Amino acid sequence: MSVVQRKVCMLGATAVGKTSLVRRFVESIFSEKYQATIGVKIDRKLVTMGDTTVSLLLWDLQGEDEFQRVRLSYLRGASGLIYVADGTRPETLVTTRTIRALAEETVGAVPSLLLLNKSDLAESWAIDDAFVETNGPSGLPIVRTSARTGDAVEEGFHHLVRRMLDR
Amino acid sequence: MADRLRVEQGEARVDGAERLEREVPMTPVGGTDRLQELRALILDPDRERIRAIERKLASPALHVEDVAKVLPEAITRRAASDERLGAALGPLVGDAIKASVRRDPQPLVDAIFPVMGPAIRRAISNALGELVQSLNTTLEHTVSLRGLAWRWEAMRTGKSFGEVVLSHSLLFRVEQLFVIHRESGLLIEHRTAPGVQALAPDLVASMMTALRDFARDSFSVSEQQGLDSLALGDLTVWAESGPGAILAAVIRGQPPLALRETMQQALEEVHLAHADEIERFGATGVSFAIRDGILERCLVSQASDSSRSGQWRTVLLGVAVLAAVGWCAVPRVMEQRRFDGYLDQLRREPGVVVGSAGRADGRFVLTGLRDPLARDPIALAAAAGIDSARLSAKWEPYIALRPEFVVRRAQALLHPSPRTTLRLAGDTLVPGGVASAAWRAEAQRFALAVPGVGALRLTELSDSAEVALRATADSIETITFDYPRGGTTPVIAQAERIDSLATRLRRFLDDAARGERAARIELIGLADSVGTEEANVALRRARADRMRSALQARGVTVQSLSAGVDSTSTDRTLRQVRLRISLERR
Repeated sequence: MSVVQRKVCMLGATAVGKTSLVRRFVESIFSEKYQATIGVKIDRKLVTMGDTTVSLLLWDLQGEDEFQRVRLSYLRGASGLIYVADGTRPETLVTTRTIRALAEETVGAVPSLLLLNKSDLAESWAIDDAFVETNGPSGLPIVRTSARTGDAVEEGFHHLVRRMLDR
Repeated sequence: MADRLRVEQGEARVDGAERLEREVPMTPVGGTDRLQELRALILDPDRERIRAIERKLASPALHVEDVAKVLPEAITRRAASDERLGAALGPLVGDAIKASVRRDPQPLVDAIFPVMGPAIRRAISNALGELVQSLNTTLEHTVSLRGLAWRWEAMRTGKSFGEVVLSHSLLFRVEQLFVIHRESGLLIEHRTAPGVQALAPDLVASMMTALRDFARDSFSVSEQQGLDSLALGDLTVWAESGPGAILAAVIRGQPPLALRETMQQALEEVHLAHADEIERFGATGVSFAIRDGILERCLVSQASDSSRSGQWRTVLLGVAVLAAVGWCAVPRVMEQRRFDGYLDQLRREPGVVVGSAGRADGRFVLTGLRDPLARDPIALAAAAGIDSARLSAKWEPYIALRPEFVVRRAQALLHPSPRTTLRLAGDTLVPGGVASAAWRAEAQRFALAVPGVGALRLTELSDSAEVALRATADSIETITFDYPRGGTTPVIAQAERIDSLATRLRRFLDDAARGERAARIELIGLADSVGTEEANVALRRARADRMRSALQARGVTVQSLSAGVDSTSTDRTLRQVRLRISLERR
């Protein structure tokens, strides 16, 4: 069984649940304090795809808001990008769109994925598919996940890995 | 060009026809023409091709064109198959560069200028770094206990201090090596020293990359620069960047800067040996094994000295310190002992009273009283081995009443003759021996003026005049006169002796008179035992009387002469007259 390594960056607005989303599914040795200090925390996620094990080095970047910009240098060498937005906060989807434009300037059009988080609160979602298509990062596969229940998180990773390996 | 080709083809046809005619046997004319025609039809195209190939082979210009077409591919293929092409071209390229530089160095300068600047800056920065580190290490160890031990080691082994410091500074161990993909921060290769437990090296590699990115962003440095060093207590992380990969070493202890050079070389070799794989890794993420022998040289350590040798050095250091302390202290202790001895001597010394003794400003300080007649304390100090420059003494004069000083002062005042001695009994000055009456008078007048003398006693002092008289008298008493048996006149020819005796007695009596002494001269007659005692008594008296008369006749004062017999004498063989002189003070 071969092992390949890939760098994947997770991007999104502040408090959309990026960290919560991966916490249950990754191997981590670093404290979340790092995110506050240097703006990134790195975890490992192993995904098995056929006879290949993909070791995803997940760069969980500090959330973007009006006070904090994403450090684009952290994106260099990334093979995949995961954008995360909060289904209950439409403005986070808009932020994701902005971030995507910046990110693709840096790393080009690498396989990407939009995770719409907090699917467990779907009844209070303020956005529908049309809104996502209009205001979100267009043309991205969308996976609705719940960090709380763990719904669809694994599927999200698998989906991304498959796209990366197909390239 | 087309015309030229046509001309060439025409010529080829002519040449080909002639050759064919030479090669083919002649046939009848009618058939020959047809045959020629047929031959031309069949062979001309081939002839043209042959002709073109021949021309191509004969023309170097056409070769060049062909070779030029395939050269890049040929070089690529050959370089991929083995290294002989590189080996063959190496010297040629070197010579070509040399020739080019000789002809005009500017193009080469222009070409390498962009890389020269950073390379030179880096070399200078490393050299300065090594120098500063070496200075720091030296300064750090100069004053510490360990530094002193190393100084001792340098003295013992004859090495320079710098060498010793360097040898001890190389105490480090490279525990982990990371080869990290520069672009993505993914781990290409990870090595550990034996027994080292490494925690998730792929995550650590990524985090190191993130830290480098963070530092670079935060301090706005260029892409080529990055975080080269991280210090975490006893651990140091050194990173060397190459175009495709970063080599990071986790080092415990204090690594020497020479390790940087080793890391740089190793990283260069990684790039040389694995340039393609590094490039592919960016796309595939598939790790590959770094060629053996490249990373191993960085995975080095320098063992510290064994504790035993450390103990040995500590013992040596202790001995050295003790010796040094002894070296400084022993002279001081010896000097103090000499001074104490000198002080004891001064306290016993007559005429010296020590008031205070101590040290001040590195000198011995003494104060006290000193009789001028006492021995000189400075001379005593020199005799005790004390450096006069290290001694400061102040002596107040005083008069000591010790008997020897009183006697010396009396001697100084009274000037006794060598025959006169002086001693002190209590506070009484007692002269002894012989002295003149004049000196006696002098002594009586001045003795009490001598400090410490309360009285004078002259009873042990003889008068010199009396002693002289007595001596004369003793001399005269040795004169005797012999008599014949039964006779009262001395034996023959004694008259001159009697004259001489009379002269001496007169002079003696005059001297005695001047010395206020009364002299009494007794003439004693002696007789042998022959005859009766009665007759002998008469004979003895007669002999004395007769000598008294003879001396009286010669002017010797009558009052001082008496005649007698010596009844105490037991010698009954002598027939003599002898003298006995006594002196009395008048």
